[in-house]
Amino acid sequence: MIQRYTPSVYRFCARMLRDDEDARDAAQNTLVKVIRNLHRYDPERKFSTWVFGIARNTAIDEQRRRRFTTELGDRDLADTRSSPLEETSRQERAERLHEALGQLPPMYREVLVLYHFEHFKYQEIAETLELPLGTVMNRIFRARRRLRELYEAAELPEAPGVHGVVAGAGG
Amino acid sequence: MHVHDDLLRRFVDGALDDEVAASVAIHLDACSRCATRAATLEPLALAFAAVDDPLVPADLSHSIVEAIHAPPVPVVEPTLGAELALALALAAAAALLVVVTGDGPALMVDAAAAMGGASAAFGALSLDLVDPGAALLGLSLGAALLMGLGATRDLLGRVFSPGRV
Repeated sequence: MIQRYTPSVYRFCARMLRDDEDARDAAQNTLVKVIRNLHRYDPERKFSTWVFGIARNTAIDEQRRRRFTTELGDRDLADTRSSPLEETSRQERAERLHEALGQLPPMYREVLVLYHFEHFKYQEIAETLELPLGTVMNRIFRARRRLRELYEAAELPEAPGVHGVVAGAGG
Repeated sequence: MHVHDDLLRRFVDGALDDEVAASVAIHLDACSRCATRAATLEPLALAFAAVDDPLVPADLSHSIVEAIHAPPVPVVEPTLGAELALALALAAAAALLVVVTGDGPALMVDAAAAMGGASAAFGALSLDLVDPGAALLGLSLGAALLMGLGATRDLLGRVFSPGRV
């Protein structure tokens, strides 16, 4: 069970928290809670939605506990096997989306992460968040709309060596 | 039966009301063909596809297993002094409120003072920071403090407003 859920729970936490150490802590805490609370699992519910419900709450707790300033950076933009031109375009899209997602409020980010990256069905998202499906759909539409705006407005980081890195920026 | 193109486009654009959108969503959950069509209509589909998964730390599963088998971390309880200080601080805050805003006869002031003490202890209890014994002590001290302050206020009221009964 740990082997099965560790990657997806870690990915979810990393995308929600945008910090690899925080994501690691949240993923670990999530799975410890899952194991220690297995007796509370309601078999009527899908197991993965129960696990991700715990992951979501744990990520929220982690977010409250710490302030997040660091980015996952290039670590989560893994190598691709496309041509250099395609690669530039692909990488730019990925960075722009990464940037836009980071600016979304967590309640919007979580539904998009669950749907587009973890490939949850809409009803599974509703079950995970313990919300009516109509509410979840409304939230997803608002999230997508906001994401598109942020994506269009996203400024990509300057390439190092062209304008250099601004020391002390982001504090 | 599949979702019509126009309806699907409005679904992706978020132009449907919640109830209709939920119906379409239920269909998409069950129909991979329509789900794929909907995905291609999503303006950011390429961008989503371009984002790779974060790399999972190789030793994470091992750390999780270790954490599961580790003894639970003991919870550090606050000291009795801190508990009492909290109860007294809450009582004092309630007393200040009574003294500043109270305007009724002495009985009402005393009743309010007692309620202030009780609420102080309740507040301390509900914060889950004190044990019932300490809360009881806080309640007694808080009530006594508040009643004393209420009586003082009443006395001051008589001194500065002699005509008032």
